[in-house]
Amino acid sequence: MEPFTIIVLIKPVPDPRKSRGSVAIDPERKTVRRQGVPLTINLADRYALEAAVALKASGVGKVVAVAMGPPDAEGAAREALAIGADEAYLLSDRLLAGSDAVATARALAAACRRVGFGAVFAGAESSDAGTGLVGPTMAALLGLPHVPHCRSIALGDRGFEAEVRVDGREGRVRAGLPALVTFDRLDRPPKSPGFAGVVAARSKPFTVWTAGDVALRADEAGMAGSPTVVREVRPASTAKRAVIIGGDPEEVATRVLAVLAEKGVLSDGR
Amino acid sequence: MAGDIWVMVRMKDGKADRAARDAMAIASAMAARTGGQVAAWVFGPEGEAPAAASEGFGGYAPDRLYVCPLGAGEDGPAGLGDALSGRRAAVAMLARTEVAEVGAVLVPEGQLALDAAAGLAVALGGAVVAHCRAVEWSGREWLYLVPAFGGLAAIACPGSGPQVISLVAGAGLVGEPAEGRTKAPEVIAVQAPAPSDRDPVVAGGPSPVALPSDALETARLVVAGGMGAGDPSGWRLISDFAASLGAALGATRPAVDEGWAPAEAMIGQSGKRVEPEVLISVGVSGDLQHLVGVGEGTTVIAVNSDPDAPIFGRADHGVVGDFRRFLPAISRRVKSGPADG
Amino acid sequence: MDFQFTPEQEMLRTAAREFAENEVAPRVAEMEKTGRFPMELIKPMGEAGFFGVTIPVEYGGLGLGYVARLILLEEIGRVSAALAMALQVFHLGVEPIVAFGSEEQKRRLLPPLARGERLATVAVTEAGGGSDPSSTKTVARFEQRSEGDGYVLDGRKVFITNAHLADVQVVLTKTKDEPKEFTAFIVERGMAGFKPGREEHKLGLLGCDTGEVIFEGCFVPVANRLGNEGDGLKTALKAISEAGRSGMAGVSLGLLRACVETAGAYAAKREVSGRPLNRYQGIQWKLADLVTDRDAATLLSYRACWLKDQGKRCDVEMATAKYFASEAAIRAAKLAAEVLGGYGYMEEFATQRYLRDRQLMIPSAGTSDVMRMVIARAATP
Ligand SMILES: Cc1cc2nc3c(=O)[nH]c(=O)nc-3n(C[C@H](O)[C@H](O)[C@@H](O)COP(=O)(O)OP(=O)(O)OC[C@H]3O[C@@H](n4cnc5c(N)ncnc54)[C@H](O)[C@@H]3O)c2cc1C
Ligand SMILES: Cc1cc2nc3c(=O)[nH]c(=O)nc-3n(C[C@H](O)[C@H](O)[C@H](O)COP(=O)(O)OP(=O)(O)OC[C@H]3O[C@@H](n4cnc5c(N)ncnc54)[C@H](O)[C@@H]3O)c2cc1C
Repeated sequence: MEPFTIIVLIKPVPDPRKSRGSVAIDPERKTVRRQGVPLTINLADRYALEAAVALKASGVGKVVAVAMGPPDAEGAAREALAIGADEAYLLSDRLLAGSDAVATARALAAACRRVGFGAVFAGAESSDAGTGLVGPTMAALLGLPHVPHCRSIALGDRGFEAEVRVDGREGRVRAGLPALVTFDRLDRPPKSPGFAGVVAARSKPFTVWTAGDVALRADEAGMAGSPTVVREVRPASTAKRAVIIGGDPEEVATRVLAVLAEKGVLSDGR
Repeated sequence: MAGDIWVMVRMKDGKADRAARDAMAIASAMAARTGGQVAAWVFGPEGEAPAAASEGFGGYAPDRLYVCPLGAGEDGPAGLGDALSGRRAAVAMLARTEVAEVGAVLVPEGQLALDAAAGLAVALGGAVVAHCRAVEWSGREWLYLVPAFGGLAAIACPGSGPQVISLVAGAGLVGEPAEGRTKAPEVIAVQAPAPSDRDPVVAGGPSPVALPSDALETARLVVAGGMGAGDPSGWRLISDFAASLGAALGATRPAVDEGWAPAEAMIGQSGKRVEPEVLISVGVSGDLQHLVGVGEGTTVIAVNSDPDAPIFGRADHGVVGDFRRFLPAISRRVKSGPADG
Repeated sequence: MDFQFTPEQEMLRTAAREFAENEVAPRVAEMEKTGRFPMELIKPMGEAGFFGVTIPVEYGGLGLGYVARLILLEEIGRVSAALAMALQVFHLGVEPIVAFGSEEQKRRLLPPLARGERLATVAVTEAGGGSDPSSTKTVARFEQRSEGDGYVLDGRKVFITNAHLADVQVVLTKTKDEPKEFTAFIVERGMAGFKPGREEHKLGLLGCDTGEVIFEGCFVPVANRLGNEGDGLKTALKAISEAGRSGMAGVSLGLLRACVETAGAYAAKREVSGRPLNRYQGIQWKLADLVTDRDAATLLSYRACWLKDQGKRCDVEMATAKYFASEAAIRAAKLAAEVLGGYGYMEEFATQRYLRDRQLMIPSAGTSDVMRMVIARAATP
């Protein structure tokens, strides 16, 4: 097989380690606020990236990270270089702000076409908006087979062979190239790039692209190119439905056990 | 929005699954506004379709019922191969869009529907909405309510393209009555599109396994712990508590992220949906992204130190205070034999 | 003036923190139980470049310097002071070779040390005392041999960190019976007559190896003499005063951070009479002291390492950093344990480990008294 490029889509998301896990909303755009908050690579995307880098041992020529986000997302793109991508592109343009899932997929697909690829890897779901739509939508846009919820992947002579876990079923799935593979978050932590990775990233190419660089028109991108709009964000209802059980721990225990007994869920049938 | 409303129906044990009834009610209300028809799509063996219509749709029969035997072949019905047939499902559906204009497509959450939804939206130039838990008529347009930022975001699709909506289990209709429809549907058989090299195939070797629906999904009593555990020792207290009750242990996403619980234990939008008889929620704030994973039929008992925590809006019984004070007393009483009080 | 870390330094911190939390944290309980160094971490630490942070690029290291090393030690120390201690001494063993080694020695020894294929330490202290090297009794006798000239070493070093792990040890000896006449040698594993001795059982820093090294007629070829005869004290003192002191400052910073985080999180969560602890003034004062100490130690330590990286003189600054950070770590472990009340003394809570680990911050790389001797010179007009 000829060496080919794997593009890994890395979404810059608010860093849960630095923003205490809370995702803030931009009151005007009603989108996730990504400007001015510390950003990092979406966790699922790191497994995608690790898998792509590992495949370099079996004939993959090059791993290219592609991110779309505000200029602050440069750090996340460089993180991808430290983890092992050979090149990184950040698609960053005011025109792209407020893109919904379809518009995001369109912009990323345009970037992928410009880079050229034998496969596209992405996360199954982001940790902030988490629609899980970008992968499948890109597969449709680029006309690629979609291998969802991949947990491990190998390259054979007939393409990829992947372990997947889909809708409560687990099995091995094959797809010819080019293909789009989306990766789950795994139970093990992702690999740290180490200091060696950070130093190696210094000399790797990093490029910022505008919408024009990937031949996106204004009406295809951003809010204008998004078929969905968020009309409002409603706070969680504060109405209380629970009957409060008061008293000291012994009284509470009695009442709670009474509920469990009434529902018949205690193992010895009480 | 104009045109027909399509509903993708998922089959379970030869019947339309529970979500189909909710989706058909929503479709019925939407079709009343567009003046279009309701069409249901059943992907599965042909023989099952009429049963699906009569038993699963709960009085919201469609006008047309498309039956497409997709994936019923080599991998067996409801197999991994089926779950990977989303592209072909979209192709089958797209072949019918010449016949009628499509206003909206309602799909149940799941891989087949997700890939199909993306395929339809791309081909028809439409919008996709994920994780929709309620559909609401604003007086001007349809709003799709999705969990966001601790509350609900109301998403609209103002364009002219079709609106492909992925509904979570138990999705409801807000502020708009749905009229029942009883007329027997016209059943239309649709050929399954041939697989192409654009479809992943189930590889040879050991056949795909259905993961055992684990303890969490089958348990009648679940204890779900959250960030309120505070640290690993707090989490151990919660897990000991669950063990003392013989309950399965679930977790919120942040608790999984902390490494206290395995990913398999996650309940909610990114994890599992559970519907035990009783769920005891400990140190969980009650964010919708977590609560969409808890079935409507479940009685919830919540222990939370914040009297204003949103979890008390969903719980049936609440205990306000530090869980460290209360859980040991309950465990002790269970161990010491039949409740006497 | 600019008190910000560069974006690259932030990335280094994130990388070190991920390593500490994902790879080190799961092993702390085992280290506490067995007291053994986690050997399985050597390979991933080597791949991450942690052994070669300060080794120049031309000798296979990362050439990142002292600020980067401080970031690393702080982040590792936040999770395990024991591992940070071991790591700081691996670096300490390398530094004299970087600073005083011949070209041949650097080419031969540094690349495998940078990769973590071989590990290093420094052996100075003897039973007769650590702060005062003049009591050194280990002797090196010049000897002409047919296979090449060398020195025969006899003596015993004690309290040597990584004694049983290090393949390469920089050993301070006396070549003449004159007060200032010291010579340093690079002793390598496999040299006849060199062996590790007793393993110490410590109160804290469990999982960090400490013990004796023994030289019994150990023949060391001339090629392994570090610098000239008589250069030994200068060699050892420079390594200890720069790499050793900033290293101990790094371990102390990690401990300080851990104390602030543990106490802060507990005080926010634990309720007494319906109010979280951190709403009580008595607790607030403790938290405020913890944070202030941490920040002051941070500023002193990074300043000292920054000066070193700039090639500027930093002996006094290294001493103030080491003195303040180590003493602050002592205070912090006590305060953090107090915030946790009775729980602070229980095995499930990390504060009891901090209480045991903290004590070694003081003697290593020079006690507070020695630091004050150095620092006081700065006040002399
Ligand atoms: C609560 C909420 C609900 C939303 N609901 C909808 C909706 O129903 N329909 C809709 O069209 N839009 C919706 N949006 C907007 C939309 O989700 C995002 O703005 C859009 O960018 C898609 O991101 P995602 O995180 O959902 O992608 P996902 O599909 O969850 O991401 C999957 C993978 O795609 C790749 N990827 C995604 N974004 C990027 C990026 N910027 N750069 C590089 N790679 C990327 C990554 O590999 C990622 O792991 C919603 C936003 C919010 C906050
Ligand atoms: C795209 C996306 C998908 C998501 N999917 C999921 C999902 O599938 N599942 C999920 O769970 N979350 C999911 N989330 C996260 C979700 O939004 C919430 O952040 C999460 O559910 C909150 O978890 P929590 O209740 O454990 O923590 P918190 O919100 O931090 O709540 C902790 C609670 O514990 C209480 N507490 C503190 N101390 C004590 C004590 N000593 N005793 C008793 N109570 C105490 C506090 O009052 C608080 O209410 C998702 C988020 C996004 C953006």
